[in-house]
Amino acid sequence: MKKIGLSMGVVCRNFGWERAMEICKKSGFDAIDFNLEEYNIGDEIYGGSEDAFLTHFTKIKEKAKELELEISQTHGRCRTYIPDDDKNREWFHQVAEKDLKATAVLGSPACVQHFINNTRWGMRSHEEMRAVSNEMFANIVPYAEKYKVKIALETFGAAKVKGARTRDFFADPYEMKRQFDAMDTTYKTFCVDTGHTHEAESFWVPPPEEVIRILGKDVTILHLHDNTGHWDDHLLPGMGDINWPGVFDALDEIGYSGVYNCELRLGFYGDMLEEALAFIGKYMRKFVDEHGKV
Amino acid sequence: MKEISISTGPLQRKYGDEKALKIAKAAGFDAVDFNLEGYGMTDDCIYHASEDAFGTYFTSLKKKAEELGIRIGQTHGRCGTFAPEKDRCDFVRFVTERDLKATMYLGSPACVIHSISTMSWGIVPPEVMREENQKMFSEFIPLAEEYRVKISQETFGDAVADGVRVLDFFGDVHELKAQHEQLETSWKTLCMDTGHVNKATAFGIMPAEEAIRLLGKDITLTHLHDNNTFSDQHLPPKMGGTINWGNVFDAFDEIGYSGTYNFELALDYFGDTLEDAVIFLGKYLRKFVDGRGIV
Repeated sequence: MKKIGLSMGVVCRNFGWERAMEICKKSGFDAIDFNLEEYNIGDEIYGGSEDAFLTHFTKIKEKAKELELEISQTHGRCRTYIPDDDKNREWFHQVAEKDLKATAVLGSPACVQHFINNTRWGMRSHEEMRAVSNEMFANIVPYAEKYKVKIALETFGAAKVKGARTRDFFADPYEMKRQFDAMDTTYKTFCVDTGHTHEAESFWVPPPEEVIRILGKDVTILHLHDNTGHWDDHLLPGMGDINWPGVFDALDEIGYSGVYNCELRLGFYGDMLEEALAFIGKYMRKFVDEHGKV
Repeated sequence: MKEISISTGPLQRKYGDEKALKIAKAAGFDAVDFNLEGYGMTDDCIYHASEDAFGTYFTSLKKKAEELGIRIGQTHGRCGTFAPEKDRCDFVRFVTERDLKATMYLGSPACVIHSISTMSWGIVPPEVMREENQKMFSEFIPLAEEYRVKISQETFGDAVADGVRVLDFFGDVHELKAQHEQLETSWKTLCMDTGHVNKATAFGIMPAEEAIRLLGKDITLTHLHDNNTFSDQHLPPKMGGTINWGNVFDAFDEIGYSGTYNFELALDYFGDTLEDAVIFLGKYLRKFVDGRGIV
């Protein structure tokens, strides 16, 4: 049976990590995508002692083990390099190292780190985007190798530049592949974010099922969510207009054997979040078991 | 306490009419918007049966709702109404008479009938849209008066005409208001469709809360749902939509709205989990309405 997972950033924020994991388990999820973006240099975990760091993430790992919940992936930074800011680069290197180390302690195989994006970088030449991205990932590859966890490159969608909606440079799967190939390591993988890719379709990026085929067997983690191609809505799969049976076919074709992890907008459920997750767990189980239908 | 209601079309399609009512009640809804659009499409349906059979069917549904303790607060008639094609108009005449009569048997006070749409008429002079719409509703008024149920136009959004996304003519709330005022009957009301108005904002139309204030106390029915302004997603409120619900609740209070808060949601994608979804939504929407847009 295919495993289902949940990106649980909002759940952690609402309930704390321990209760959040219990809720995910109770809701029927087999795995979680643990959000590390909540941590930052200077807080008591990322900025504290080595002992405090190890103790904290070991506790989380043990709790997951006790619950028989797999930590199938982690989420590092959405905000990566920004232009003309050396301090930011330094910060990113430090925080990415912590993310990768935490991922290793959690026993998770991979950590997502976003590409640089056009919303922050504006319209730059292709060469510059490639060069900056290469440099950024090259700077954190040694940490991935040291901690033996993979850096996951995630598919991108639309960006906003000077008020205009445009395609993000790394929404192009061939650019992603180029970046991937340029990384001189085996500690790398792809995360297909179905919603981002669907959002980029209006800029002639292929649909998610095609992108999965283009990226192939290097896709080992997922951010499944839906939209109508206009905004990054992070809707429950099926609520937008992604061709889900097509996505499942493509995942089968590349021999995908990872977790079917969904990354949903959950903040609006407020006090109803726990009940919402009980339903979402059931829904996702059926959706995944039935190959994109319910 | 404000009453909550659900448009039962997807439930009726999946489970049939009676079970749809049962599920809505079990989910905690006080009322339903009963969908009639599924009727009349085939010759063997109840709309083509004898008057007796027709009356018996809808009266028994009314009784069922009463037994369950759920009100049929409104019905939904046709979305596709008069168009330039004569056959289509003849069909709409037939089914709308049935819709209004069924509404009466169901004990519901009002039936939503869509205004004519740019989707069917294309871009034609405003006078044509106004006249044709008046003509259509003028035909329905005697039926509404005979069956003592109100006909309700609903706020509109956008349309696709010649492949281009445009404002639906009656997406202009001022046009809808003018049409409503010209109907010579007291058997009329308005249905505020929040999602449609939200889509029309992309064409400079006022947001839902302002539309509510403009249409005022003539609004006695609602189709509450949310979207991202680009597509008519019929989302549960706040789940990815852009409507300012706090403002919407304020506006309803200001006009003294005392009807049900009826949610018209796209639910078909829940498939076999539909019943579970509606049970969850009943709780979510109760909290949402009680919290005036906050959960």
